[in-house]
Amino acid sequence: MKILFVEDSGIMRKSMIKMATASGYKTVEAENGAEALARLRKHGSSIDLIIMDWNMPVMDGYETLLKIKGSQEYSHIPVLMATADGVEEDVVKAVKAGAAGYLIKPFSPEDLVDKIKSLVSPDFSHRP
Amino acid sequence: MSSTDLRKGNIRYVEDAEFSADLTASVLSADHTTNYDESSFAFSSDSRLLAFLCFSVCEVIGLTAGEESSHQETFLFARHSKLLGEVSATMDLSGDLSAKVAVSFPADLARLLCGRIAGCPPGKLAEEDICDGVGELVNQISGRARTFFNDAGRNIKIGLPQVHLGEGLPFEYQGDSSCYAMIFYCLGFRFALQICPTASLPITDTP
Repeated sequence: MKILFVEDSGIMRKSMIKMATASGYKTVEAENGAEALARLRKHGSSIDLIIMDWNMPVMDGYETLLKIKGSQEYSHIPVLMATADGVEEDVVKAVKAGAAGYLIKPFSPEDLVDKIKSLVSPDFSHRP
Repeated sequence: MSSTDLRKGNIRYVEDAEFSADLTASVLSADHTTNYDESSFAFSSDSRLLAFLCFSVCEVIGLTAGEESSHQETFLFARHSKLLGEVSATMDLSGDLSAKVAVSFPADLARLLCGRIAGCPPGKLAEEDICDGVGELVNQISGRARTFFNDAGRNIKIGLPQVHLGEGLPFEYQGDSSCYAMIFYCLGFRFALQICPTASLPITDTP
């Protein structure tokens, strides 16, 4: 399974990628929403989950989420928002925009892996 | 000291202090018997804010860096303050509470914690990784505090983190505001969370 991590903090990207690869997942990374869309154009058919921060420069997580869910090619990919902003209105906003889940920082490696497992079917039946 | 002690107003007050290296060292050390006046507050409406921040710091350091930290003491500086550590990150809060928050570490502790976050030996980190990591810590601490406040019915927004390198840099917000410094202990070092609120948040002590 391949996960696209979208996070402007390099050290947090390293941290989450380490958590994911320790559980056997393959990873792709992007620093912001614009890079994430570029990665999707390159890897789109092989990405099973997107884990994305909200506050990022260039293109933030919410705008990127809208673009992903508005596209025909990538809208099937579940998007997990992983962000330090945990206020209820933002969670509701993300879910209404099509986010499959919301993970509030800080979180443990176990929290992240449990969330990944809850969003992606083991047989990848979510792929078109 | 637990966050419960903050709600009883056990805060050390420092008035008109010359913010020297000696004062910084004294604030960060176990010995608090020199150079300043001490008074306690029967109740401070800021104590709820401080309790939220105290909890946020320990939770973030615990989950993100996997290390235990404990709150030691809280100071209130009547006049503007300086950043107490060598590697600091600041963030602005706005909305129902207007304030500037800083997390300030000794350089060695910043490197250790960032190594824990990244899952690599601390010596392998570049300076930009440490700046990134400290910025992320203040982002998460402010984010958690924001969630607590919003759940309590207070609307707060957080800005983008800014990182500052160097000792004794000024820390003030909107002129001559007072400043809290909460001292924590982690991995053999002391670090500080500093906050300059412009006005006390009117949250009562009862849930």
